[in-house]
Amino acid sequence: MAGKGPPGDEFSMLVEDLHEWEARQQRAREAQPDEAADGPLRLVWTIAAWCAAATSLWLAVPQAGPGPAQIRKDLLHLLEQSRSAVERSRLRTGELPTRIPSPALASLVSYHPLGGGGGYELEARLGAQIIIWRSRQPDRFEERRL
Amino acid sequence: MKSRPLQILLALALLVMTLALAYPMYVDYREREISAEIVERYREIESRIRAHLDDAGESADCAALSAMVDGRALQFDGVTVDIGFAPVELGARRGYRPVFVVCGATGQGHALDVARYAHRHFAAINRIEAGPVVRDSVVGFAAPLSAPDHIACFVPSPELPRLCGRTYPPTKGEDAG
Repeated sequence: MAGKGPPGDEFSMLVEDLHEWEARQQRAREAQPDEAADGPLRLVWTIAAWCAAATSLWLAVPQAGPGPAQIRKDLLHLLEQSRSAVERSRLRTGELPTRIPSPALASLVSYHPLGGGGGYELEARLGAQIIIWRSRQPDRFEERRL
Repeated sequence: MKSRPLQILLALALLVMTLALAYPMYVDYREREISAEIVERYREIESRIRAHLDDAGESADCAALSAMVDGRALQFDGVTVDIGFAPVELGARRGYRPVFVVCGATGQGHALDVARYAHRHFAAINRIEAGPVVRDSVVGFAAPLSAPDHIACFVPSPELPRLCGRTYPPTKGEDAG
């Protein structure tokens, strides 16, 4: 039940309020530089986190090799090279070779002479893709996937 | 104190980035190292076979030349390395000469890149036989192990060539020509 005090008291309360207000302002001013310093740090951290996520993803996802279309193209190239090597040998010697004359191609393409008639079969495989070519059906390529 | 977790996270992020940059460089270094080992092995085998041919001359059986090389000397991570035989014709005489075959294909880890580096090494020392296969998904080539205009043996080795990236010895249906 505080009654109305003398005018001096009101004035001192006003001064106290003013002091409190000043102190709050001061604290706010002191707090502001911290936030200003946190701003760039937060930005750097965000960029670093983004880079880390991107590089982790790049590491996790295997680097893309040649696609199925390129592999098919390379398989057909190998078959054509092997066919050419076998035919050249047949022209020179008059008979089918026992293996593909080029050792580099022989390590890449399976060669199966077929009994009688001078036919043969070539099988090239890269990754999970296989293409088989038979000299008796030169226009057909049998394609398989493992 | 407030920024301590942020600092730790920043340090972790930088560590991950450093690893992400260093790991591919390490892989590349290993691939180059393996390809250099292949060239070194080739030189050893070549000198041994040339010395044998100088001493003993032509062999009847090519298998005798293959037997001179320990199979373990041809084992490399993913890359297929083998001793093959290329036909030689000297007038009416027909025979074979040994070659060092290297191949790597897609889908075998780093084999394709190692074979590519090895191909560059062999090309630099001018040891690539005619008809190398250098494509996006496969690299295969041969290097001579004896004089190209000399017959080294007459009967080809009964062993089938090792197929690039396939099991060896070949399982049923995986034989080669």
